[in-house]
Amino acid sequence: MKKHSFIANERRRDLLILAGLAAVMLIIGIGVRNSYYLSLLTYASIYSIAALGLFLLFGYAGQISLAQAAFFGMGAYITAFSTLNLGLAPIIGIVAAIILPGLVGWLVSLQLLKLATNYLAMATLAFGTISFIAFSQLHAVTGGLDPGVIGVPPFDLLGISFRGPGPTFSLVAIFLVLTLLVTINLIHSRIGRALRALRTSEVAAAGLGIDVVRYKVIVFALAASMAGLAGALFAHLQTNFNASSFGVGLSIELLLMVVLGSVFTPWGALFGAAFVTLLPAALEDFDHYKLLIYGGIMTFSMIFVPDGLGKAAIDSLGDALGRLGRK
Amino acid sequence: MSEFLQIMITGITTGAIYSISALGFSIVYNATKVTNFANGEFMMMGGLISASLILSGGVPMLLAIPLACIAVAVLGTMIDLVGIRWARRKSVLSYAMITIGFGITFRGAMQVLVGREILFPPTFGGIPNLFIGDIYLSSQSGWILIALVIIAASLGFLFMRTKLGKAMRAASQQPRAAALCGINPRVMAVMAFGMAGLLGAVAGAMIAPIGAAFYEFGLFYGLKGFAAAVLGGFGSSIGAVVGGLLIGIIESLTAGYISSNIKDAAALAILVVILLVRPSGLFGAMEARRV
Repeated sequence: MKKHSFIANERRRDLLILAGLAAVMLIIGIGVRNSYYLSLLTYASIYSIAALGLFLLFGYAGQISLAQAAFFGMGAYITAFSTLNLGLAPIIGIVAAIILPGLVGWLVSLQLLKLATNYLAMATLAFGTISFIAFSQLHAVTGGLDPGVIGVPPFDLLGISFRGPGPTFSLVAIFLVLTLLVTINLIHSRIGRALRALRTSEVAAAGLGIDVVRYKVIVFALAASMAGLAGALFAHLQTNFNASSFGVGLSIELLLMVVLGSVFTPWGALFGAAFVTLLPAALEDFDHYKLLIYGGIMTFSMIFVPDGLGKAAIDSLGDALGRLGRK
Repeated sequence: MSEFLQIMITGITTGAIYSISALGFSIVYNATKVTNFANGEFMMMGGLISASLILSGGVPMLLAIPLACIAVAVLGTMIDLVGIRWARRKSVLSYAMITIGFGITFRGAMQVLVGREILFPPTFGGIPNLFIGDIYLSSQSGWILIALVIIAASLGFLFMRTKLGKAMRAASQQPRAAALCGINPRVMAVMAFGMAGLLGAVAGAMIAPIGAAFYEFGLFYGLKGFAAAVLGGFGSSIGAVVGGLLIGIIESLTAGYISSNIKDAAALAILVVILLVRPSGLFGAMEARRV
């Protein structure tokens, strides 16, 4: 067997996990018939895509952003506008929803990247809030808060229409796998290592010849693109939506997903997105105790499992598998 | 002219509330370097607990408001005693995430204890509604302005003149050196969170008769206070007061002359522009550098 370097091995391991995940999602897409569970999993997958973007930006490159909901909303409105008003094919809408938010992200980050810590958090929060106000006020394009956008058609490509819970889940799963493929290849590449250096120390990274400004802009734009893609899929899933889905609350939830999952591995973002999406649904029966229990669980894990529940879960799963392997 | 003055007075009144909230951010940050994202919930709880005591409990206002303030101050110290102190990872980010968790928990707790109604407590009364020419200053606005002056003056006195205030400042600048001088940084941290809770509750109780009290309002107040603190320069007390008043005035001018729909957007856009020119706020210590 050929010997591989440590880095190549890490990448192979992540790609293997991805193949396993794709297989599981295929089985879910074919096997699960309960539309409630399918739609929960679809939402979790959509938020996973947006959380992966934030994982690269915040977890990997160490740049905080509370503007992800804005790019998510842009993606949703771009898709809705191009399919409903321009009558274009949904695939064009999705491509536009990836490219345009990325461009906006690129322009925004060029201005904001000199800020740090609380000031960066506030500036991105301001951008997110201003975008939300724009979404709710530009009635001509967005429909505002009421009625919003109505009747986005289901996604179709080459004559195949993704209508109904099963096909919609499959569609989102395909995009999630593609996003993960990009993410995994990126973090195990030259760019990924540069981003990690940036997170540890900008000065040291610059000293090693890493173009700090360029990499910060790249990763911010990439995170915006991923949020845009997630927003576009959200629009196709929801068909009817309004500006209230893209408030500051969503940005904070995405941040919670990344931190709760793990800032060290992309699988953490998936875990976090699933956890934050499914937990409120699981707590539905507790009525007005729901938020208190949810907050309590969040606080507890932030205090005692700061590396993320996702990482703890993955590590213990790895240990269990390792023990099985040795037997 | 009188229209302009009227708009300025409205702006200064709202701005005063933002200033008090921003002072809470600044006190906690100065003592612990923690950005306390539960700060807005202090205001929400101050308003909601006092309103609920007055409306449902029949407690007289003079008793209800101090009770609410004490309750919120105690809850504030819990963030430090239960959260920050037990944190497995001692990093600024980890602390900030813990405060976000506490924020959600506080919101959930208020939903259980007080309920999901929007409460309108009565105004304080006591001082009359003032008419100076065409300009109107409501009695509640008067109370808010008086409160800001008293709070700013007493905080200034505390931090500049008293032993306790000096100890708090020392503990934040050099925790180790302060400890060697017999100052306990942990006690200072608890006190900072308690004071932020107290201030937030006062601000919340004062705005509730005008702006109502509801368990979801914390995020809004937190955003405004955070914006004011950042605009002034994080950790600067003068900055917090100036930042809050500026944001209140910009909002009020936008609402008065353009449209109230975009007042929040206008204030935040100006904030971003100011940050691009001064990356550490108006009065902040240089933290970010040009790249």
